[in-house]
Amino acid sequence: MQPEIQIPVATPVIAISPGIAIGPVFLHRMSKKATTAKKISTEQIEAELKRLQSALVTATQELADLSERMARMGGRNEADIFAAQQLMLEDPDLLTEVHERITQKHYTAAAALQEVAEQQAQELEMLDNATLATRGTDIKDAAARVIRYLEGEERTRPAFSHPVILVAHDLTPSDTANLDHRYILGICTVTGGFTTHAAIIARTLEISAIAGIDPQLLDELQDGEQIAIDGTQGFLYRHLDDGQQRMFSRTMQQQQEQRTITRIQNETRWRSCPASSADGIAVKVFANVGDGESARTAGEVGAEGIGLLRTELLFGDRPTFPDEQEQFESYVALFRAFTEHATLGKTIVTRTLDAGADKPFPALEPLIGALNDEANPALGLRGVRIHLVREELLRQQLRALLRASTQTDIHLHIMFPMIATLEEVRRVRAIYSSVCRELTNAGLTLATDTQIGIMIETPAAAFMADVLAREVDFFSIGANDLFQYTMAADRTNSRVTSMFGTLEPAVWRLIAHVVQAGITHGKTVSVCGELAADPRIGPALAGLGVQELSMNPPAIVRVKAALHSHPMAYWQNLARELLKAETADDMQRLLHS
Amino acid sequence: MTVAETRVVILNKVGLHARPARLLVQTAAQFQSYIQVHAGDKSANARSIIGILKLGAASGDTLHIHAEGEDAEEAVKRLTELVQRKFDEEE
Repeated sequence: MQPEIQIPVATPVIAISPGIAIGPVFLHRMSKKATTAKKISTEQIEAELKRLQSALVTATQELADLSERMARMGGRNEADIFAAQQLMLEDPDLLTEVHERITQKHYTAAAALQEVAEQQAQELEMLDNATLATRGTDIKDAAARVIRYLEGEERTRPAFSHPVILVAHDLTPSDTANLDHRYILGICTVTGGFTTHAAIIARTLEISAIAGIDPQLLDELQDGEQIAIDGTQGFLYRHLDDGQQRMFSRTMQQQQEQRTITRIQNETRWRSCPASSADGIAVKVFANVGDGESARTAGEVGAEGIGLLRTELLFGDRPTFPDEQEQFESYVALFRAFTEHATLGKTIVTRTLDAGADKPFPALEPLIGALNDEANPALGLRGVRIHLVREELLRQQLRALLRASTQTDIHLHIMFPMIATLEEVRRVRAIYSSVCRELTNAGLTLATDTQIGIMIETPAAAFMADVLAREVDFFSIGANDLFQYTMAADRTNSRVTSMFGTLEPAVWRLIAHVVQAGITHGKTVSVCGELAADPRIGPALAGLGVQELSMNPPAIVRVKAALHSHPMAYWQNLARELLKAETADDMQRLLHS
Repeated sequence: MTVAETRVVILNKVGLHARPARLLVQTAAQFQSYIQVHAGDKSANARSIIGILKLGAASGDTLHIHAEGEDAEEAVKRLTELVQRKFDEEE
């Protein structure tokens, strides 16, 4: 900051989407014309139906475009919302009711659609399910889009001739996504919060945004008045003098240039560059893979290895088990699919069959009985427990895996799921050693660098990590299951999952304990699961000392870029602060600060 | 006219939410048959996304899929597979 510039008067607000923006105010007054149930005459019905049809076609096309645009920019959830809205406008039940109101009750198309949409939205909102209830908003949002066309508002977006800061009471997801972002420097709203869809879209579009401004400002602010917003810290600045305006303009320009460069660089760079923090500390970013297709994608998007190869899909819904030869061939094909496209590493961490719980296998039933007969499948016969009652299945899989690794140039690592005790570790290691001896005796030359590890998914294994670390080569924390067993919350039960945060202090502390045990004994610790794929939580895990993050391939570039945005000391500090958090809310605040 | 039906348990975490509901409706729309989905005491036309959402079906609930028409069997098979594949959701 230049010394001669006075610090401008800042009003604290809610930070929604990061960045500085300065520009003239554009007050967005929502046209909330109440559609009255205007009647039409019998002669007009035919024409009214045609008008409805043409408005529906335009609106659905627009939604399809929006959905595609969101998907291209990586906003998958937002893309889904608009795709769902499109289907709502094609909904046969909804359209039948709308037609009935037009033809029988002589409603205008707009009035008919409005009434039916309201009614359907209300029915959804009455469901005892918060997430489904919000879909009611989508029905109304989709209907409003059609109604705008019916009422002759050709333009669904405000027209700008120059870049502005948009000031509005609130913005729906459609409003936000429809904005021509070449002309929107920033967004200020009265309502809204960090997690609303509009906020997520603003962040996806990289438009700086704040919320929580005084509603009186809607009257006070003049169109064209210069204001500045800080979407990172959450400030609104008014009454700027020339020096201050120049300062903000300069910051905004630098930031925009930086963003453009970053966008282009990220894609190309991170596909061919291993992950590291801003100060060059390496963290391996691996992919979770379940079949040949995802193995290929993983290689293409710059995975430095496969951190979790799920072998369940190779077994699938088949009524009988694939024999050793068939497994061998599948593994060879899958390993090659990865190595042929990967440029950054050849490690493949394979998890032995993790059957049971929410992953039933028809082929297992004749061998161990029906798994769904258990009262508590998540606490039942699953993962390593099945290996130990049906040793021959594990031997067969290990033989196929080891044989396949000799046919390719991958570095095979093997890990066992659902470990709870040291005895289990010793027993599977004994089986592994015996299989290795058997293959060596048969004349096969096995690689000497194959590592044997375990999944840390049970609190039991997490608490015993210091003991288990002595007898394995690495830990892989299965964050999803560890969460479910720690919080005693079934992750498939939406009635309880909504009661907890993405991250809970108890889970974070347990992960920290495991990482510490790994560090003490010089063993690699990796994390696979949704936590690793979060662009803030993944790097924070690295700050905790996790050396490998494994995630679904689409998240890889994003996490690499996020990790590189700060030096490791920053992530270490964030990890430490998270350890002090007392509630999931505290953690969210830290993650978004 | 063929009639086919089956029962299938929803396995994906979030139940019949926006994305699963959309995939179900889009799959159903590929068939000529009239397809109904029942959950608990509610039922919906498989081509109606609003109807499907209003079922409010959560993970662990059983869907009863009933199809009538030339391609009823194939329709029921494909929809069952979709539900069993957890709508291709991750984890």
